[in-house]
Amino acid sequence: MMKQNLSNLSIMSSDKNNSQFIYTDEELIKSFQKGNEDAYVQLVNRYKDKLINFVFRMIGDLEQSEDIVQETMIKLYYKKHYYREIAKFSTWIYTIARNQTNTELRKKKRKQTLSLSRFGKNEKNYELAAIQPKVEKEVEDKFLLKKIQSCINKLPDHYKTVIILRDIEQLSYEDISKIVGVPLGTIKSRINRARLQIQAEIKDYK
Amino acid sequence: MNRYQFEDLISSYIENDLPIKKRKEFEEYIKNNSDAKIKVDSLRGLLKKLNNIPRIETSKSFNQTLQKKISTKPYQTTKRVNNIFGLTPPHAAIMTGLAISFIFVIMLIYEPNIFSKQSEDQIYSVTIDSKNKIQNSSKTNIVKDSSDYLVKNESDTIQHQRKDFSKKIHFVND
Repeated sequence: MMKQNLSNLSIMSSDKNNSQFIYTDEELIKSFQKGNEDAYVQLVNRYKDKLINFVFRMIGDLEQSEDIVQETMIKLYYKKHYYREIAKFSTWIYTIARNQTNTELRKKKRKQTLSLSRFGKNEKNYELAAIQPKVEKEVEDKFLLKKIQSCINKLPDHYKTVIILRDIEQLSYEDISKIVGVPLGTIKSRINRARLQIQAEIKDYK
Repeated sequence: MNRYQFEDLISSYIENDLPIKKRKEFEEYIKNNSDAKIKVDSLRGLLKKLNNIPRIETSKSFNQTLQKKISTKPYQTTKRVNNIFGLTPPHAAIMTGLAISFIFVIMLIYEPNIFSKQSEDQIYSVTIDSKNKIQNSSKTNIVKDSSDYLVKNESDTIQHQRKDFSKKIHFVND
């Protein structure tokens, strides 16, 4: 019965930017907890791109990242009542996505299939068709970005997570601390070290 | 301020997160250290690049696939546990172990010699088997001597095997 309302999911995805009524995430999840599936659709549209960026930077495989984000959304759908208003919704959803990603990373490590070459291959697939380098500077920038991404990939998981959340997803230190479940000071120090490591690696490419 | 302190504070400085006193100290350090100044600028550039990393979007079919998954996939809200007569596998294993040991103890109480009797029977049967084997082999076994062939029978073999110590035993008082 409720699932029938989900037909809105595909319809609403097209006019996500036209929504006139802006609710906070917390209001939307509250409404969804009461049974309003449109609120769920709005939450999905708000977070699917944010989450895929985060997950993709962690995993390096677009298809798998999309699966993980979908699993996260399915969890949100079925476990909506687990959310309590004491935390921000964004923190909660990122935590779910992070846990899903970590599980996947652990599986990957076990299978030893994670390789940088694989990442490169995938990056080629989605690398923004809109950007077509014509000028030398653009090519250099693109190369540098690729190098930065590969440096991020090389970082240990606990550095990788925090630097993606801070410098790419631009979350606050407090939110990252809640998502990762580590004290604020540790988060700041990890981010600083991760940045210095990347900087040291790309020093020669500037 | 030394190089390590400088490196620890570099992100906080860039993000304007340092108290005034520390900030002044930091600025003093980079003023006197050109490498440090380069490092700060380089990190600023890196952060800018990281902030401008191209964003990825989910595929167009994302919502449709999600809708399909939610509609078709029966999601287990509670953890499903396999039951064996209403017990979880570890509990069932423990209960089975206890039941077996209970039966064992009961058998020992009611018939304490059940296992020793059995073993005696087993030993007896083994002895008879080996005796028969020895009989068969001794009948066919021909030992070659330098002059002639001697055929040994069973009684000889046993007698040879059993040594007579009677003459070697002396009582102290004797």
